[in-house]
Amino acid sequence: MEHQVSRRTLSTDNPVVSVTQDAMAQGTDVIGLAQGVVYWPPPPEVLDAAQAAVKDPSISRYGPDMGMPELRQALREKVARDNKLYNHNICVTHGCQQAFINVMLTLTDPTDKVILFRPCYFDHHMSICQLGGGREAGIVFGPRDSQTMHPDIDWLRTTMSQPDPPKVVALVNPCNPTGIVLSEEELRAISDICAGAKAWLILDETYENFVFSPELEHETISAPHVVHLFSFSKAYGMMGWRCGYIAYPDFDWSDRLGKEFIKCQDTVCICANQLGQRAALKALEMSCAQYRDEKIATLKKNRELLLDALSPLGTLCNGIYGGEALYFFAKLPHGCEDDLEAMKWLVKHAGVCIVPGSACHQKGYFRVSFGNLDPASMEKAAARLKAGLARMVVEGIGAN
Amino acid sequence: MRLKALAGSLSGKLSGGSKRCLSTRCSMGTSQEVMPKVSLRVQKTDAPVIVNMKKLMASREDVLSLAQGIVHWSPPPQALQAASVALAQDPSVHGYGPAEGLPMLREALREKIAKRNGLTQHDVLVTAGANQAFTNIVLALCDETDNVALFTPYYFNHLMAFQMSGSADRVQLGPCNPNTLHPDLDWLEAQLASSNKPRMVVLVNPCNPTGVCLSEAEVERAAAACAKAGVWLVLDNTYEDFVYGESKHHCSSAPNVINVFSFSKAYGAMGWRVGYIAYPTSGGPQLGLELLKVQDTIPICVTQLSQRLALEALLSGQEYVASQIQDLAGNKAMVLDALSPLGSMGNGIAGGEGAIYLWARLPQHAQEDTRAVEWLVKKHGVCVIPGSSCGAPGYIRAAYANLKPGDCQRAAGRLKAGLSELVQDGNALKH
Repeated sequence: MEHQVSRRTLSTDNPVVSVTQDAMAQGTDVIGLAQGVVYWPPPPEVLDAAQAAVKDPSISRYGPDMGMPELRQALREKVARDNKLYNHNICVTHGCQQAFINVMLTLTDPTDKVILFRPCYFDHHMSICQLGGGREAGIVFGPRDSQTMHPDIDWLRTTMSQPDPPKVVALVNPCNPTGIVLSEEELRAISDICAGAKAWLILDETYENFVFSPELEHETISAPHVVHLFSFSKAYGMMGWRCGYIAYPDFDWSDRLGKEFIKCQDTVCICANQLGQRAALKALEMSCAQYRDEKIATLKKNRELLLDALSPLGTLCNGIYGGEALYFFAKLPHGCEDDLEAMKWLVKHAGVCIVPGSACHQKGYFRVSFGNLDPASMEKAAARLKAGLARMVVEGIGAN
Repeated sequence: MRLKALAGSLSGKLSGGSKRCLSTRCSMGTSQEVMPKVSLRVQKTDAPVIVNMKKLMASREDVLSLAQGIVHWSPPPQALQAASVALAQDPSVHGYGPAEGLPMLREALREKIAKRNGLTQHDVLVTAGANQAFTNIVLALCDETDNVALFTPYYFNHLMAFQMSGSADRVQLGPCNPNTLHPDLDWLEAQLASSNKPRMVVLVNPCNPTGVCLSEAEVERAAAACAKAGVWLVLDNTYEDFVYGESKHHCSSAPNVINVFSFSKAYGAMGWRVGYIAYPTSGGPQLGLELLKVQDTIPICVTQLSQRLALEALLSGQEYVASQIQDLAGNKAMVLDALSPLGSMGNGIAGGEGAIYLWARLPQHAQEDTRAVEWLVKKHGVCVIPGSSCGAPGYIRAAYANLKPGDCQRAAGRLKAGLSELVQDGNALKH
């Protein structure tokens, strides 16, 4: 058949969720530790507000492309107050993933090089490929420090000072999949390097509220070349509501970037769903922040459980990494580097499912999430994972 | 205007009276100097016409819109009720659902497309509206190096999707018959036989912006011509329920045809963002798998509550839809009458066979359609869209489902007065 699919789609990885769901389907009674979701529903006030709005005729009509005006204004205030991003404008999107697509369409051509640090967030890699940028070394992988999993900034400095440097650096902070958090110094260094190379820096800050270690803090950088992506999904348990946003510099209020984003927005989704936006507006209220932070605090227990479950593989910064966002990233035992096989082995022998590092372009590792189960359920999952890893260390995974 | 007011109030909150960020974190310099460039592909993408129309309408008070392609009704009450119940009782609405769509909705859609559209060897992917469906298809089936074809006048978002994804320089624009506004399939066949044939051809049926409805023979001829050349045909069936008189809507089930549908118009569900792709499975699983990749990168999944609404709308909303569409006859007649200074059906005016649009040619002395649209807003308080946004300067598109009959009558009155003046006064646009 001559009419085929595109090269750009063929160059795109399969969705990770397909890989993990297929794996889970091979076992019985498998607990997933793969999906990056939280176990709680949205705050009760949000549900009440949504219920009150369902039959409102305006919910059924298109809203303005860039978002409901009240929500955009509330978000301008939020990013100023909480993120110190003053004079930033907002584009409300169908989740943070659609935000990333908008931004990549607006800032890159298929021939541009984009830097991702390995292991990378799989959806960013997929998006770049899907838009035609994955071929001919369009994705430039930056290394991470093997002890800390932090991006190698010296490498970045060298790479960006070559002729014809990459056009975009995309980071997730706090990080999916490694679970690390960048310091203000690191962010400033990365930002300055990008500025010097006239490159864009995209910061996916979906997990801004998910910092657990007391000595760490989520920071961000305000600059004309830095674009920020945020999400309502994880913090407020609103995955199914599909609401995220871009916060972009608009220092002179000319909305230069907005005039371009709106083209993609109009073409891809016209506008984000109205009910989701109404719910998101409610979620920004103080009482919901309290709810959010209480729920996130319950994950401390989950973290402890999983860190202990991973202990057959090492300790934090030595075989195990991260622990912020919703993730730990861990190194498989010697001889078990085939992470796809290791995933299947854990499904079969331990009844748990993790995300193989290959999905993040880092073979020999895997990612676990600690957000998707309440602490009581996580105990059971963690016990299984620990038993499985302990056995794996001794027996291997039987694959050559 | 509103944005500047907001800027004023926000900057007023910063101490020192400066609009600039005072944090030591800022890398300052003027934004023009240090902001890197945006992409070529976005620069080559047209600005969205509806956004511009809204700005235009905001420039004076009391403008009635016949511009945006919306319907004035809300979803069927039982569909809203189903969403309300799901919200109250089903905690799974808060989580991601399967990327391809809620299983029950897909099942109901498979039945629908088989029974109603004759698509029996097809599967369904639920999308966040028909625009997102089209974006999926463009990314999954063509590269930025491929030629693609649209017919002029085109649906603006289709052109934008091609431009945005890098194909701006590769769009081949086919003509429509100047009187009937039906796409010129002779042109298509010749184009498909040429050495730089397109990889994908798009038809909107019933047509946005012209309001024509293609016959079964036309659709199948286009599909066959594409098949012979090994080329995809994308059929956008957003307005399948909006057919009038003798017209009948037809989808092609050929294996080289991808069908796009929407819940927005028929079910009045614009704000819920639900559409779907019906794609052939006869060629194997790969097509579905590739569409799923795009789905995972763009929406991940469609809003869960929206899918619950769509399911109930599909299962029980047919009578409601039929009744609403039937009632559009009055609006259509009013807007057709409003356009009568410009001509008559088949002679200066096209449409009326389907969709929610009428398409009309401006007088010879008033061909600057963007200017004419502005003038109609400013002087007569009614808004239509300029044909230039559809690749057809010298024309206007008037939508007739936007307003309830009372308001539509007022809008039509204003439009008729405006167009009469435009026809009679050769200098109207110069004022």
